[in-house]
Amino acid sequence: MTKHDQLGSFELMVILVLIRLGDNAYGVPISIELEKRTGRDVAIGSVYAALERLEDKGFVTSELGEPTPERGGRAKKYFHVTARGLKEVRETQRSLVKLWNGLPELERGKA
Amino acid sequence: MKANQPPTVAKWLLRHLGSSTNNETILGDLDERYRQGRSVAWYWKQVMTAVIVGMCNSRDNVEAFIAGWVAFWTLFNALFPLLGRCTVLVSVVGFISGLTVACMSNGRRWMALLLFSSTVAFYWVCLGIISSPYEPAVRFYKLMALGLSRSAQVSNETLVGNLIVLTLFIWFGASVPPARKATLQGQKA
Repeated sequence: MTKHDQLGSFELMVILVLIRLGDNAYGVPISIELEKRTGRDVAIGSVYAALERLEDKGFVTSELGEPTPERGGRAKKYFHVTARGLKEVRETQRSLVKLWNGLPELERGKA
Repeated sequence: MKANQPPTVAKWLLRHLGSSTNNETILGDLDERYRQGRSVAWYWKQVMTAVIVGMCNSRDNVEAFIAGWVAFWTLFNALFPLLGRCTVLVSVVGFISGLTVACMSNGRRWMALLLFSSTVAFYWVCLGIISSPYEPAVRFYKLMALGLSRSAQVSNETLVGNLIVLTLFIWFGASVPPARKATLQGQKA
């Protein structure tokens, strides 16, 4: 695995939200879910920048949906996590858990 | 009462300066959230972030910006001993560096070009300040460039005139690639 293929922290958050949302993952629900889960304001431009990088890495695919009047007649773009993306998330989770384990400061909830 | 329509100028900015291939989808998402009750200020903040993030996320545009500066710097330093800081020099350097940025950036190159021409203009003004006879500028130059001789002093009129010519030729150089593409397409047809 090259460094280019690794998941950045924001990319990991986005891909986790995509898994959570399933078939309804397009820009608006993704940003709302990210805001809800992180408690921070999210820039839609940053979400799309992360999605473009994930698509380049082959972790995500996209398809155009139906245009709606509340979007000014523009189509939605739905994103799906690929098998390779899921594998990468599992590997990242394993690495993070290994790093997490055995840190008394975090286990006692001091940090 | 909030207007139902999102800010037109912000939309125009994202459409023309945004480097993302998803610009139209981003605008659709912004419109949808705006109609769900977000403010005009929120819309503007989102547009400005999308423009900046799109520019930084586009590797082509970042490389084009760097290549433009390399072309500008190399040509300027190579031709300066021959021509001096004259209009011919700035025209040639501006045209070729603008052409370089346009050739290396992706289809949505206006943001890269705007950033390039702004930084070149800033550099030009700094160059003018350090070569001016204004006493604080002289002291600043002596402090920053110890032991180096100062470049030739030029009048403010020449400096501003050359800056305008430089900027015009950067944009002129950048407008050549699409025209050339159109000609090639016409020949193929």
